Amino acid sequence: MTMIEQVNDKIDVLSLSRKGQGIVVPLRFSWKNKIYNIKKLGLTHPIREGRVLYHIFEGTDGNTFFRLKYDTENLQWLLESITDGLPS
Amino acid sequence: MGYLAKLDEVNQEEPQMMHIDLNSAFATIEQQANPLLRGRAVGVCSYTTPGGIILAASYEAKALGIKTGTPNWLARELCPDIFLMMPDPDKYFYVNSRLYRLLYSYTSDLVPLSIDEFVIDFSTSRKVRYKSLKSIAIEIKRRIHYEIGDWIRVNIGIGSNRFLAKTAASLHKPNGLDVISSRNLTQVYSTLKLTDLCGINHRFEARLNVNGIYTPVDFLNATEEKLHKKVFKSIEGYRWYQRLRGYEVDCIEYGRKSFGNDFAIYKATSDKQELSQLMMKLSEKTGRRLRKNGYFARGAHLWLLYDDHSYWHKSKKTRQVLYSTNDIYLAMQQIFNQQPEFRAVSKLGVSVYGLESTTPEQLEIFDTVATKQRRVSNAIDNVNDRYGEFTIVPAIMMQMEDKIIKRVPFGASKDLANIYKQYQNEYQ
Repeated sequence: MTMIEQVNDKIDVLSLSRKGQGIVVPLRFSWKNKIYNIKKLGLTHPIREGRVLYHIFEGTDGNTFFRLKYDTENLQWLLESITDGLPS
Repeated sequence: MGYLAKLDEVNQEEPQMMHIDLNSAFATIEQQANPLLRGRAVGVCSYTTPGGIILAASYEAKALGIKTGTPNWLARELCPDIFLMMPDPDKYFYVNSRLYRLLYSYTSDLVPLSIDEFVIDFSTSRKVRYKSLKSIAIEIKRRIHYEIGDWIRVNIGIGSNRFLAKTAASLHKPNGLDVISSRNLTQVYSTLKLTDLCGINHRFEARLNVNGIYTPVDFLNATEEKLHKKVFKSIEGYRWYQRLRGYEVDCIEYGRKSFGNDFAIYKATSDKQELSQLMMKLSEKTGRRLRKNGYFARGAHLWLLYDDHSYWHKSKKTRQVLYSTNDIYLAMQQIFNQQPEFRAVSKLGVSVYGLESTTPEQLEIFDTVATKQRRVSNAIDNVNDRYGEFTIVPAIMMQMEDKIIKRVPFGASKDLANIYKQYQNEYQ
C-alpha cells in the first residue's frame, strides 16, 4: 500500500537556474539523512497563499514521488509530501 | 416552410471551428505531475473514503468500467489497485491557463467552455490562410506535448459549427483528431447513437423515438417542420435542424446571472448551529466572488437536500442590496428558518441573483450603515487577499477552516477569465 506522508519540512535543495524554464529546477535534495536525486519533474505550477507566491514542483527519483514547495518570499524550500513506493 | 432561412442543404463551407478537449482532465494532469501514476488506474474523487465518488478516471481506469460518478467502493471492487486521490484545483486551473495561452497564440477568437474544453473559431484567423486546420491541430498537439506536459493528450475535433466540432472530438478517444465536413457528415452520423450527440440525453432520445427517429441519420432526415412542430414544439426544433447540418446556432454567450456555492455534508445533520456555520462559510465564498467580480445582488436563494433525498428550496428578493458576507448570510438564515420542517440535511447550496454592477457607484452625501459595512467588507477582502483566504473570518466560522474545500466547478467557465488574468500577472 502506498503511503503518502505529509511532511512540510524545510530541506536542503541543490537546484539549477535555467533561462526560459521558470525560476529554478530542483536537481536533488536531502531529507532525514537521505539524498534524493530528482530524475523526472512531472509538473511545476505556482500557487498563491495570500500575497506570497510559491512554486510547486512535483517529481520522482524513479521510486518515490515528492512535492516540493519553493517560497519566493523567503527563498526557502519545503518538502510538502512524499509518497513511498509505486502506487498500489 | 423555412422560419428564418431555408437551409435544407448541409453547410458546404470548409470547417473552421475547432473543439479541444483535454482527455480525462484531472486524472491526466495528476499522471502528468506524478510520473509513477502513468499507465495506472487513477481516480480523482470527491473524498477518498468509500462513500466518495469518482470525479475523473484515468483511461486505464475507464477501461475497467470506472467512470465519473462511480462510488469509490465500487471502483475498488472493479480495480483493487486503483490509486484514489483528492482533487488539486490550483493545478488544474494552471494547466487550463497554460492551454489557454497556447491556443490564444493562434487566435483571440477562443472560448473556454469549461476547465477542460475550448472552442476556437478560425474563420477570421490569418493562420488558416497558410496552413490547413488539420495541420494546425497536429501542431497544437505537438506544442502541448512539449510546452505543457508529455503526458497531456487532447482530442481535437474540426467541424463547420461548434456542435460538429465537439462531435468530431468525441469520435476517437484518447488523443483523437477528426474532421466532420459536408463530405462525411452522413457517414459519421451512421456510426453514432442518438445519445452520442451532445445535448441528447435519454429523455430527449425517448421524445425522438416516439416521433419515429431512432438514429442520427433519421434525425438528419427529419423535416424542419416535424422537428419544430411535432418533436420539440419550440424554436429548439429549428435549432436542431440547423445544428445537425453544420450551421452555427450555439455561439450565444450568456452573461452571468448569479453566484453560488454548495457543499455535500459527509454525515447528514440537523444541528442548526453546524448548518448555520456551513451557510456562513458558503456565504463568505459566494460574497468573495460577488465582490471580486464587482457586483451587488438583489436576491438570495437557498436549497437543501435532506438525507431522505427530498429537496427544498426558496428564493427571496431583498429590498437592500446584498454585498457583504453578513448581508448574504442573514438572507440565507432567514430563508433557512422558513423551512416547513427541520430535518437532517445532506447537501446545501446558497446563491445570490439579481446582479447589478458596483460601478458606477451611487455616492451618498452622508455615510450610512450600509456604506460603512461595504467598506468593512472591502477591507476584510483586502486582508484575505494579502494574507490568504479566511485570515479574517466571522466569529461563527471559527474552528471550521477546512470544512469546505476548494472545488473545481463543472461546466462553468465564467470564473476562468479571472484565473487567466491572475496567472498572466504571476509571470509578468
